[in-house]
Amino acid sequence: MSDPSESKVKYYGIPFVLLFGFWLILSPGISAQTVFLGGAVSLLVVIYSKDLLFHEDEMPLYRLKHFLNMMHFIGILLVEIVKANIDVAKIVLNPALPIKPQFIRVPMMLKNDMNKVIFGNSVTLTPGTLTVDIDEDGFIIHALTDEAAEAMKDSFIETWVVRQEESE
Amino acid sequence: MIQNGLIVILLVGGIFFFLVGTMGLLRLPDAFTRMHATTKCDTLGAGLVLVALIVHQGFHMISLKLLVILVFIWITNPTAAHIIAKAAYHSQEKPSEVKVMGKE
Amino acid sequence: MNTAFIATSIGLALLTFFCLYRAYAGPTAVDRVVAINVITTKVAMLIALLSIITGQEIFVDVALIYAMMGFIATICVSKYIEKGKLY
Repeated sequence: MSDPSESKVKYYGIPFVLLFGFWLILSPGISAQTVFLGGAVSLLVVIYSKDLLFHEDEMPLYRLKHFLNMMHFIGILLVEIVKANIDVAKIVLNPALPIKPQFIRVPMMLKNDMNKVIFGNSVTLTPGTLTVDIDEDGFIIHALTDEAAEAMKDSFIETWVVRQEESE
Repeated sequence: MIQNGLIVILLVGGIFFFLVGTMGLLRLPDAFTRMHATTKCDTLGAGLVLVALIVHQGFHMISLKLLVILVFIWITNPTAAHIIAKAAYHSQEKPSEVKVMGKE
Repeated sequence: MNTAFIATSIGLALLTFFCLYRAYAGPTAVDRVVAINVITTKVAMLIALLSIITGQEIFVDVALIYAMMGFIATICVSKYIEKGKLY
């Protein structure tokens, strides 16, 4: 935890910038009227919903280092997603349907909620696996084939998310 | 010319993955396996179609809006799949044995 | 270039009808929710394609809102299946 005033800036500043950017993208043109109105509305929304915003501890992406790390991860993930889709296409287009659906459990190794979300969504997008439930003990994952279930051991997603959580 | 070729390749890829997703939805035996096909293929198919539209538009205000749709779909589609899967998992009987994978 | 976009739109519309069969046939409520989720994504893509084909920029906003509404609808129906109430 660094300087408290700096974390205050992040706590209110980042949601405001995101909301204001979204407003500018949706508004028909940039004029004094739209900028002023958008700024006022974004500020009101941020102040009104301040209980719902993320603290810096809860949201790892608020730190620049973690954000850049995440961008690198997304690059790797995109390649994996294309491979995943080709795998699924092969299974679905195969007339014999070579599937063996099963549930597996991955023990919980994360504390941060946002990292859990990143892990779950990445698992859903990679080959043959689908996150079903997250509880205190671990992730319940539905696997389409035996190979997909085996691949969950020491997957690159797990390695990466654990590294992200440990790097403070 | 290169731009047009790129757009056609992206569109063909997008429609192919949409086709695979739909075939999976129709062919696979139960709700979980159907979700496998639809989430992965629909997410990538939507991404490819939107990238084709962005390439067609070039650097423009609409491209930015299309990019917002792209990011939104890529975040919400796996999340929606997770919520549906959770509902399905809790509304059926629990599987008797669950294999444990991952780091020991 | 418009021809390619129109062909893609026609393909998407046909695929949407096939998804509709799964929403009709079921057999469980979860299958129907999956089908509706897929249809929502496809229709959002159709609207985005349509806005480029007709040159009506305003339709892109409609596609964005449609995708958002589909996500909310999926969450609501899933919560209802899981708990029997929405909250």
